[in-house]
Amino acid sequence: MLDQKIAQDVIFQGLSLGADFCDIFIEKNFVDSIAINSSKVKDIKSGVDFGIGIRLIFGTQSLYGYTNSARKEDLLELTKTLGAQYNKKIDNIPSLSFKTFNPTLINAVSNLEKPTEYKVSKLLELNDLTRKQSNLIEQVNINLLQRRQEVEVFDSEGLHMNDIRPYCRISSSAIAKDGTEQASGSWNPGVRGGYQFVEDLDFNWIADYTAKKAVTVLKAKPCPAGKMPVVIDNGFGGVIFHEACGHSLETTAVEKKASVFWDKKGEMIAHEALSAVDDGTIDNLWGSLSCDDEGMQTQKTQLIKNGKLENFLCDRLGHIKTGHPRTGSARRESYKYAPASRMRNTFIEAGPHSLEELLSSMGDGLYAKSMGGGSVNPGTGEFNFSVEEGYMVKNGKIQEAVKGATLIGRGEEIMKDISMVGNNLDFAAGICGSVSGGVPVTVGQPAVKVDQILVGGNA
Amino acid sequence: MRQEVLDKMNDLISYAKDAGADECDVISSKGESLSLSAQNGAIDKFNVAGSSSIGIRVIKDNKVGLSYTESMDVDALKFAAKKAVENSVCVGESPFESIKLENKQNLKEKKINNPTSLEEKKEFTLALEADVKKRDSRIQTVPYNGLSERTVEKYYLNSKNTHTFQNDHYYSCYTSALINDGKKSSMNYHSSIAKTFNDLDKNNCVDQSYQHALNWLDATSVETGRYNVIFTPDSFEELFGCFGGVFSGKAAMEKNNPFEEKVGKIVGHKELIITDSPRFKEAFSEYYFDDEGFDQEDLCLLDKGELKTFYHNTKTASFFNLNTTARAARGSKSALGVSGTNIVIHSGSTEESNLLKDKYIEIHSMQGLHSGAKFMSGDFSFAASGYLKENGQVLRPIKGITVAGNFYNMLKNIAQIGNIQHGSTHRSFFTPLIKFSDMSVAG
Repeated sequence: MLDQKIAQDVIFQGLSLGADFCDIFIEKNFVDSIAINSSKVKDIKSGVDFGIGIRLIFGTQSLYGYTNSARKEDLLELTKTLGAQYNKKIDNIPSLSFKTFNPTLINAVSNLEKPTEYKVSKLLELNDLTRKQSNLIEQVNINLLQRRQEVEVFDSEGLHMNDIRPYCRISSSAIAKDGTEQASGSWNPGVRGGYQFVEDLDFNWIADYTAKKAVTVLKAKPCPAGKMPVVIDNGFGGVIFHEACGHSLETTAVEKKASVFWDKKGEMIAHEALSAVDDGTIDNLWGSLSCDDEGMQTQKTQLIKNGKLENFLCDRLGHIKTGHPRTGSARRESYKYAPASRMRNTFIEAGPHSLEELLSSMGDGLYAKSMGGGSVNPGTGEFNFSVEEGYMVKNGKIQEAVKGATLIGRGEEIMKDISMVGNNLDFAAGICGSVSGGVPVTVGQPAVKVDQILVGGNA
Repeated sequence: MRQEVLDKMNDLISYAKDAGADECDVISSKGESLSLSAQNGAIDKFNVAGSSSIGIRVIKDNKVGLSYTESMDVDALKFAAKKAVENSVCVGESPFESIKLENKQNLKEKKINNPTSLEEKKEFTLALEADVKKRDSRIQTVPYNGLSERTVEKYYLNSKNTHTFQNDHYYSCYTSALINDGKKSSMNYHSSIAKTFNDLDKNNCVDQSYQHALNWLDATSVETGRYNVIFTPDSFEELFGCFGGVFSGKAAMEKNNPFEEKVGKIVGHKELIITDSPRFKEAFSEYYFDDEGFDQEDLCLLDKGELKTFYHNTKTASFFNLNTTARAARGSKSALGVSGTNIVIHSGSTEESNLLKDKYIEIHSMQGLHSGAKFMSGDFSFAASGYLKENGQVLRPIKGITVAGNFYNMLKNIAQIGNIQHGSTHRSFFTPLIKFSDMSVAG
């Protein structure tokens, strides 16, 4: 996308101004979306984002700027503005030549060229199926997002990398209404890949799942509040690890000592039943990448093994500041953000137990069948996340549905309170927001049992 | 520069007309920003940015199509125009959506004066870290701090010769304190926003960050039960924001609004009056016209508990057979929607000192708002920190609690509304203190 000669001149200018390192991130992003509401097409949007980010690193300081212009003079001016902070002048910068890095490509679900009319008819089919599930379904909202992100990176170590990242995600939400009460149930799967993903979906299953969830929550009673054992089921339940621990293992927090785990590498930070990884190399997964946003091949990173902290997630600046090895985890929402260490596909590895064993060992407590989102303060480890669909459990047996539950606690504590891990590992797509914007991530886990956690609900 | 942007917008409209559009309007957004942060006594991040985007909405045969681009060359603009027209083909007819306003010019250009040197901004940023660290040897780090300066411009142009322009320039800063005494840790942060650099309240950011972090270091939770609860203006703004969509005419039209059929009905306490006020005298931002070019005036949303109207644009108003309330909202990359301006909750009849008399929990900070609120049902459950208080005096700090309830029921079951109005930190939300009794708190 960017002429190599211009890239050379920009990097030469950055190094001439005294930078220890310089990289250029070029991004072109093609976006298409279709939204369905009230059994009609609500809107169809298309767009093209384009921009270039330039980063200079002086010691541990990062200087970053971006522009929509690819003109050489604009890029040199931006570099000059950044470098002027140090007011240095270095002569005899050796000439730079780029070597193109061809990473091992992570597979993506194939794209299927279908006209917009066809895609609209498929989404309306899902709309109709969902409405047929129950008379209580009042509204159905469906969104299809297809995105193709083209990325190019040049750096002052001679790296040149191109990557193409296709994304496809469908969000389907059913709203149930009974008198004045309303509740919703949603399903939002996404993949690294193209439209074939939608063709392969089981629309009957999605319609049944979202409608049933909306009706269940509609009829649910308020969840009782207090401390109790909780079994969190698989898939999006992995948001618990993502929030309670994952963010605290990113060097973005570790480098500032704003993580409760910043000095715990090699120590037991979790129950010995728990092992967790962040793996950017899994074919077709929403959070997978061939290369990260610094042009490094992504990898599988063992974060926790049998309770012991093995690795952090680290980008270039995190490496400079902490000495931890880079893990191909440098990510950003777009050229508008400097890269930062971020999660990719993060999950608790499967254990030996069935879901029934987890529930029966719990006695009385809460079964969180599906989770909503959450957030964490990495500095204190305090996290929270919501339960979308939950059930009370008595003597190990699932009872009535409950709503309005939130789980809160501290990462250090809950990691030690996960005492049983199930064998039904599954994944779910999400968008994670943090210092470098919102990036596609996968969360995942098998069902886990937490011995005790504070449940916010109806006191 | 303004003429250059206008020329591109006119070109885009011409290309869309050439591609078959009946009518169209174009939004262009431009922004420049500078941001700095400090770590360990040095500036560790320095970001400068300039960006622009242009988005078009076309109407062809009563169908609407949308597209945008961040590239401004002729080919990119022609492609955007063509895609918008193509997109309109697959959309059903939209009899309520049209481009109405003709021959209007409304330009609100602020002169931007930036006398502050970069060195002053760097010193200020370094002080955001250093001043917190000076407060206490137990401050482990000041993990998040920064200064930002932003200039934004927004242009609207339609094919009926209506053109609006508004720009703004402002500063913001924030800092944080992470205190660790070896066994426990606690963190808080606070921000400030101002039109001029000198009006940024750094000292208050430092005080608030440090003082609450210190207070919450030894805080504990409360017993699970029902409590009187009062939200600070900032935390009530956050809670209100989770459910503010009930005033959306667009959500009502799309049957995604639990107040869809409640206009003219009582949905709140008899003393509750809420106004959307574009130019409220104490507000940070002033709004003059919406994103269809219509002039904005005060809009009464709730009067003595009765829902009076929604935020409407011309499309949602037409759907409900009403006039627009001039609350159209559209960015260069988004479809036509609605949004409010400054929210003003009017003062009530209870002396504030009386409202604070009994024992209550003051909710100061909440986490998990994006996931713990269910808009359609009104149910929410958030992690929270605050203070147990009586007569306005702190009995003890509390943290590690959840506060839960149903927002729509809360509006009806308000115990008392205070007689003094307070503004939130960002001066976009104004409210008296409101006491809610019998709220569910878990600890």
